[in-house]
Amino acid sequence: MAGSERQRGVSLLEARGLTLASRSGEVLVDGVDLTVRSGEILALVGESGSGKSLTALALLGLLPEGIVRLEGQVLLDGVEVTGLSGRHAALRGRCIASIFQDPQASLDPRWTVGRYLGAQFRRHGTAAGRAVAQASAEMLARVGLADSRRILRAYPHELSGGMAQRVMIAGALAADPRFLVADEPTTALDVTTQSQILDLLEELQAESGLGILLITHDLGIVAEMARRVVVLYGGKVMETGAADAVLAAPRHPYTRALLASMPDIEALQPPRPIPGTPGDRLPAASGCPFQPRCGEAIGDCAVRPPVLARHDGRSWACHRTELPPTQPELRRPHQQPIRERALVSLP
Amino acid sequence: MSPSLEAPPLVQALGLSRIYSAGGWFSAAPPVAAVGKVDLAVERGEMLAIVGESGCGKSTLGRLLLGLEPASAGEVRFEGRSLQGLPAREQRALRARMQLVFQNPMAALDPRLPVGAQVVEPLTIHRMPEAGSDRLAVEQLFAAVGLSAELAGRFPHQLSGGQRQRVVIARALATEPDFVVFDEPVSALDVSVQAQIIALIRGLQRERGFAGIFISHDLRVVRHIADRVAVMYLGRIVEEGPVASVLATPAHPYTQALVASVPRLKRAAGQARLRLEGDPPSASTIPTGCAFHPRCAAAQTICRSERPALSATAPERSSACHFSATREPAAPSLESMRL
Repeated sequence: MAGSERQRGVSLLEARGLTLASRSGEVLVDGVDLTVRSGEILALVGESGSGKSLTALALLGLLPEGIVRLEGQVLLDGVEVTGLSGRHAALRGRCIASIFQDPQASLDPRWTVGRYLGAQFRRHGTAAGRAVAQASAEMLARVGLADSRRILRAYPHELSGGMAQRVMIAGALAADPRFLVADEPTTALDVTTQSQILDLLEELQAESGLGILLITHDLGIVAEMARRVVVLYGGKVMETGAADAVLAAPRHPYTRALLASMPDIEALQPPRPIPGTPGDRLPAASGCPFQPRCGEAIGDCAVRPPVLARHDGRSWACHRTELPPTQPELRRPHQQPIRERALVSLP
Repeated sequence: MSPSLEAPPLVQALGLSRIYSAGGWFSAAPPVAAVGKVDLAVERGEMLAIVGESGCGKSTLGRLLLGLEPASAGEVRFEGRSLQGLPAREQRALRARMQLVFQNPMAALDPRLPVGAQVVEPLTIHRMPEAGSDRLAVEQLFAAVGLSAELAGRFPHQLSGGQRQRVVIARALATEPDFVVFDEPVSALDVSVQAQIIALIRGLQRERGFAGIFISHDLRVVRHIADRVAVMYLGRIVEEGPVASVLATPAHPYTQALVASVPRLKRAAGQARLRLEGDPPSASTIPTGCAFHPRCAAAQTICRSERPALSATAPERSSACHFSATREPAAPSLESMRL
């Protein structure tokens, strides 16, 4: 499938079996698979400790000190780019750009916007010499900052949060990338500014065929922005699929619980908390990472990690989602492995 | 909830203003009106949410209501008595009945002190020795916020974010206050834990009957925690009313924009995510007339010159817009806003 997509001119950024650990051996990201297609927004959802930001940094080749890759690959159009250095790493930097949660903190306070953007163009060789100023002004206009002459001379502290995030996006686009990894790009912004930035990302994706990995904890943003979604918990993929299908009928108890815990502006019933905290874990990754907080857990969940089952373009990792959730008396744990195999073998 | 006619509101602000003069004596920087002529009332047992974009003055208003910051004009009344000019002894006694819960529990807690000791600290400060021992008080407060008493000996860094916020809430409740200001208490928490703290605050309020101010930028959270909501824009309240009614049919164009900007799981057909152009202007350069007019699609000539007063638009509801009375309060529509 991936091959035929590439022949159609679809560019792919993939993580395959990505497994990351701290130096002390604690597994933080465990066998994560995901694929971002050009011209598509893939949402990566998770709470703190889910491994979503580490996954993003691994895709960018920017793993922090003290984090090691145990297994898995990062592929760009089917070519492995994990562990590249020098010229090849720079090439990857041109293809995959990034923006982060706190734009003010990502900008050097001593540099004007013009100097920052100019450096981005020169670094990636997308503009040089006298063309840099023109390219910078055009890029600012493209991200919705019309008053480019004034903004090019501004220092980061003179920008509002929304303007700073637009400048970061302009800097990311200076490389003319195919993919943008956006890690909680609107979390620090007001709801009105968030709306503007989300619109901008949608426009860029539609106009220039940018593939966007949008990392968020807000399922409302997923519903409005993403075509597909990957739900992470405790470093593992809990559920993936088309965003509308997953949100309308979640198969994994964690996705269901997360949806119920989101306050809704229209709903009458209050958000339903998930007991415990994301930090509650089983000893040494023996079972499902959500088991300590799961209201639907059965005996198997604590002892055996569930396998990702695939069906109808969706996948989920749960020992018991094939059982009707409303009839817990029907559960027969010993039958689980057979059902699981049956599901996995489906095309 | 229904006070007798002669009983004053628990907390009342009358023409409350806070103006910061920027820079020194010779500074050319204009003074910043963080809060301008705010009138509001909080009844016993009621939770009033204050919402608005960053820099709108909502946190400053919270601190003014607690008397933690001096008012530049106007006054705050607690049970009908003005906080200003109260003798120091009475002020301290009053302070025990008014508490503050911050957004960042890590900053609010002392990193070198076990959390149990911190929870009962207000009792010592306000010289309120419990009938039993400190240990008993800690146990009771921890139980009230759903924490195991075994955690009392731990230090803040040994707790999760949700547990730390529970400790901060327990400490605020130690003196059994009548009035608590919650300043973005769930913004820094994971969604699953945020719902726990929302349920906790609501439950505690029901049990103990304290009144509160809930400062937040998140309308979704506000919907489930507050009885009434006041929307602030550049230091002024532009709309006020029962939370369900205001969020369902916002009357002020700014409230309409805020409501429409909230990301939704399900969006009705034709109900697009609305984009409000521009950033909120700085409080040091507040536009003339209605402060919202440069961003408002419905603005007319009068909006540029005359500031609309906050006035009743429907029972229990008020809005500060020249056209709120003539406009049908409706769910926000795309047409009403500049895109």
